[in-house]
Amino acid sequence: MKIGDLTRDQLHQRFAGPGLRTRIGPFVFRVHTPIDRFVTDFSAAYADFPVCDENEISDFRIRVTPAFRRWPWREAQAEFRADGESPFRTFPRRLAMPFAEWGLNWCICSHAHQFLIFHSAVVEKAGRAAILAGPPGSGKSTLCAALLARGWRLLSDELALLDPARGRLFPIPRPVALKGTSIGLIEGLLPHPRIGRVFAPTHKGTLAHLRPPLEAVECQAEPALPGWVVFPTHAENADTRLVPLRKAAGFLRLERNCFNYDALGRTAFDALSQLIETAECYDLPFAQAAAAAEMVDGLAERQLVTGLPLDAA
Amino acid sequence: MSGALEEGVTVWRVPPENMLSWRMWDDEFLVYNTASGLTHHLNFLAGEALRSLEAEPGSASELVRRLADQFEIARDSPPLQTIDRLIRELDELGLIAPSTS
Repeated sequence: MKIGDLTRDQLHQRFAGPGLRTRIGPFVFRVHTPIDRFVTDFSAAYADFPVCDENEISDFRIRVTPAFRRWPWREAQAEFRADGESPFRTFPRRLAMPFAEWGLNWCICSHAHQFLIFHSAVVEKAGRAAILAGPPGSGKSTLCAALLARGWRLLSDELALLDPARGRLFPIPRPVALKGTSIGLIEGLLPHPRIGRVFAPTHKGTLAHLRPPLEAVECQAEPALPGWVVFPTHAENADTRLVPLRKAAGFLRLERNCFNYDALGRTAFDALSQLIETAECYDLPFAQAAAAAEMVDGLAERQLVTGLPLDAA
Repeated sequence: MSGALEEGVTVWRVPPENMLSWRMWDDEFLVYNTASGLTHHLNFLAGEALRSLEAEPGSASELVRRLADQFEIARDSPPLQTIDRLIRELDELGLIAPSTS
């Protein structure tokens, strides 16, 4: 059963009662909330994800609940807790969905050290994954969505989960966080974009979540081997082009985008080295996401011609 | 630099607790120091010098001799004139230390 199969009453019963358990990539989240608007937003964005059995052990227990409003003139507040811990202070209740998404990122980055975790989007085509790495605002979500429009599979919009032992990237195909002008841009690129409520203002500007493609959710148990590491940088006047990077530079750039390199130590060095060994690294300054996506698509097309081995791990 | 011995007799070594891990791409080295948890990016000369000291401790002049032989260049060639500074930098990074034996 999927979340989208539940009636509104069933959703509220689960969220308010034992919690809604759902599998997102390699993790089971158990989500509790009495906030109606959050129930609507979460169940829409995650409609295609499976509802887990109540006996299934959850990796993270999430609570999104109303918070005490110290000053009566402030708007209604909410708070996020994961197994009793919170990465935030309270936040406006109307922004519960984006804050919960950031909270889920925090859960994974803080605890899932079975993976080497990078701040990056990951998409896959023909068995090889492209890691799109960069700081917030570099355009990786926009490029990621543009690649989905070209038939790439979404593994993740925000976090690359690398299995250090086998060098595979595990999917966690959560909603794609679109910001500012990229919301309208992606509406024009995708044939049937499923974009949820627009949140504005947030501390990251205007934000909306693109519901992950059905195929990405259905294949969320299927990892992929890395093929390319791309560092996109969006600028209005950029000359869009793929610039090959030396492997050492690619390593150091990706290390800077890693959340738990220090925590994993030598395991992280070995895993990242192996990734860089097998992947090609590129800088990608771009002005138009569609043109940049075409260039990344060309990498996959070239792979189909040259036939990279798929069992490098 | 913490070497207390006179110039010319200080013997440099990679402390055993460092347990270095190496990758070399395009004449560049990445080396992970287990003791510090830091990853260092070294150019070709620095990488080869460190690998030489990891294989066998040596003085600055001994290191110059080894590298000159390895790359078949003169001992007073420009790259090897920087060895003293290179040793100082590797020491400051905690990758090598003066031998106390």
